[in-house]
Amino acid sequence: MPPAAPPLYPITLQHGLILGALLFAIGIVGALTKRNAIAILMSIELMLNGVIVTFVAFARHAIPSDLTGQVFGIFIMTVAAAEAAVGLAIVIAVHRVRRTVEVDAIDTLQG
Amino acid sequence: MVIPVDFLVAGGFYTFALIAIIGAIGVVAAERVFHSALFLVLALGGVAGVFIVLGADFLGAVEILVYVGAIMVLILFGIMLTPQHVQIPETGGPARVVSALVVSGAVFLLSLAVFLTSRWPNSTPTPSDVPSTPFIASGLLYTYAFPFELASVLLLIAMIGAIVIAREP
Repeated sequence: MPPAAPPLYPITLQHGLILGALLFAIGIVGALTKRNAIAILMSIELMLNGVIVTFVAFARHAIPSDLTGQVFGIFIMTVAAAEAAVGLAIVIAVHRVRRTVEVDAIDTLQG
Repeated sequence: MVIPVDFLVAGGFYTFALIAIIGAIGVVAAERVFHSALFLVLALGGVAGVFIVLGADFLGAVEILVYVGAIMVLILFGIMLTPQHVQIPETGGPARVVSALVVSGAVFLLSLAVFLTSRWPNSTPTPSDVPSTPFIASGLLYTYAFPFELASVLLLIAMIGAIVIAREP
């Protein structure tokens, strides 16, 4: 069987890594600038998705024999789901007491 | 005329990556938190498409089920349950925006430098039409069986914790 010809339009490992880094960087901007606690949670979900894209790219290119990166992607999704559930519960509990979800107003614990 | 597979892979990757990045920028740039949530649906759908193009078909389906289906509904419920009586600007002042851009740009440029200068084991990719489910199943149930059980315990803890925290005292 002859070796397969190299692809004309290659999607390499770096493409996936750069997309992951872009999503992560955009998520950082949101997490640092947003004032609504729920918007900050959404930005953190974006950052976690950037990490999963990185894992998937490594699973395709670096270790293609077993898909360890995709298994880790599933674990990241599990942790993200737990984080979203607990985070939104905290936001709702804080809103019940303080009547706001603005993070600048919730500063009782600051030093 | 037959369209070559690698052309489809490349076109799909760039299309879905563009959708994901537009959605991500929309999440950060939207004025209202509800619009941010809708843009997040767009971004997560793009990420799911990228997964499928990169040969992670099961992960793409799980992404749509878990993120777009479950987490987004949870976030929309959170937005509805926390009405704002005073409309505040969604993002902080210009100083905060500039410092956040500096931090994020530094992180991105640093990772870009690492990605482009390191020598990665850039082997030929697995073809995208091989189902990934058997590999993931053997990974979850043999190699990573203990973390798999830990993840289920973590989900149980998070469920009970969310109920206890959000309950009417």
